[in-house]
Amino acid sequence: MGLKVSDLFKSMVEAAKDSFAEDWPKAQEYAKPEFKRLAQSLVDISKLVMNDTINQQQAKALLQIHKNTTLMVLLTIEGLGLIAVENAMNAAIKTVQETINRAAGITLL
Amino acid sequence: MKNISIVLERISFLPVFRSRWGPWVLVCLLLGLFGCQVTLISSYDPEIDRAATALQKKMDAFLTGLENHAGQPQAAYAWNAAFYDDYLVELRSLRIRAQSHEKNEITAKQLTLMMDNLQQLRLAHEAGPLAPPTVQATRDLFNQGWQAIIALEIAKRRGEHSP
Repeated sequence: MGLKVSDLFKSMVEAAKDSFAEDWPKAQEYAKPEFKRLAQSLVDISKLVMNDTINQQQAKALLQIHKNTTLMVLLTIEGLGLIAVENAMNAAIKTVQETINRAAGITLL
Repeated sequence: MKNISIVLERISFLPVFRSRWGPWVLVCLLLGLFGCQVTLISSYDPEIDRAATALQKKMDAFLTGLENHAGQPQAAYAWNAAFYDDYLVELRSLRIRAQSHEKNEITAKQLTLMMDNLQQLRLAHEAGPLAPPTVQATRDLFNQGWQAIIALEIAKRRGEHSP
């Protein structure tokens, strides 16, 4: 029986949900379509191996490329998370600045 | 208010704070602190955006060429060896640029992974001709990798929505 995109996708999403925990709701908008593509890629590679379209060295190389690409996607998710946190912190700082300016009656900042 | 009184009491030994301007000096110090913006990741670099987009296109064109010339001498590794060297130089240069920005470790790591992807592709190509389905699978992965790098770079433009 061959690999199924839906099964792989489901495994990836479950693993990511556990890993990202409370950050998952924000990450999933970007993550889910990317995981679907990665799942499809893995199924395509498995078909190449089963049909002898690629030799062993090529299979090993292609699987490493798949692993590296998965890491690149996860790193982007991490980066997007940092940007989201940064935006939230700076929005909070701006609110404090505006509150102080109002309290002072003039624009101190 | 109670906390502000406690702070004023504790720093009152300094002359500046004993003057009638003391509270305003304290407020200005706090405002200076509050005036700091938090930066957790480097700022957007249009050159990284441009170069990453160009390298994505270059790899796509290379792989499309291999697909179109499948079975012909133009698709053999020997015919294309120079491409790998040139591409590696460009990747290395882009990584150096990424590393020159503070708090840009994520992009630098992604480019290191992309360099390994290039090396893996070279090994696969050296091991024998790449059939069209192999090239297609490889192209999809390279495009996805570049998209991840470019998406993050674009998101660093502060104030814009994430992709």
